[in-house]
Amino acid sequence: MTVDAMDDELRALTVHDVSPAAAERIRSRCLAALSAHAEATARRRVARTTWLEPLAAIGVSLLYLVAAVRASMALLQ
Amino acid sequence: MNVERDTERCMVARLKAGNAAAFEAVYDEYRPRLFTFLARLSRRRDVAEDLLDETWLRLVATAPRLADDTCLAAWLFTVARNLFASWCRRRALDDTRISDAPASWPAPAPGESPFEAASRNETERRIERALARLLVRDREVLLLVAVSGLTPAEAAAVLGLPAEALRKRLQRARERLALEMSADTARAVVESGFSRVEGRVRR
Repeated sequence: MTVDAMDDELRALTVHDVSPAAAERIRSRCLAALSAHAEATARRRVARTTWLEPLAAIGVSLLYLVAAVRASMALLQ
Repeated sequence: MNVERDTERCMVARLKAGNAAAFEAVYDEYRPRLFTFLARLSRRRDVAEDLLDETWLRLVATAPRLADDTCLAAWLFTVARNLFASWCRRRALDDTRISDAPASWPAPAPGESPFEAASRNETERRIERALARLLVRDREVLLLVAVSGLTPAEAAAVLGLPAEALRKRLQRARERLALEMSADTARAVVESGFSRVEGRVRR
């Protein structure tokens, strides 16, 4: 048998599949895991933004404080 | 080709974002090919189903960290093959514990498998039998390139081989498959001769 003929025979082999019940079971497990991952990612994103807001507020307040101290020092001098 | 690559990049991006429709599309596209690959590697339907399940769960767990240019076929077949190798190691360990036998890749199951039984015709049965008698390293390269339709570059990525090494392994595997098929034909001729002689002796 030539290489080409053998490759044709191999390509023509039956493609098997899991039973419909097993296919559905795997699909639902994966979709559940996918949605759990998406939820966890969203929660992490929310947690990040919850931390970012007070941090930004503190940063801005510090800037105002420094500016006020410098203005007072300039007035005193 | 570029359109296919673009479509795949788009699919990977949607998978990374946790898009269920993208997962379903990839699942429907690759499930039968992956299952066929695992079933012919392991020669056991139950094992192939378990490994398939695990492969898809790995995809879901890893999806957010996939590289943008991931080739899904190569990625999925690599994971499936690695899971099969782990299963072989576990099985070899179990065998060692039970019978103190040397650890090895699983030998072909004796007798006809359900896949052989379901084969459409005699040629297909002969190829299935010959494939089953090959070493796993020969069988997997044939299954990836000739049966599952992966490109040589994708198959090389799955097996972790340079292109030239893959070409040589593929050639060797084809030669061994041809030898096994010839041997199978010879066995069939001898067996039919024996049964004819046996029939005459009985008469």
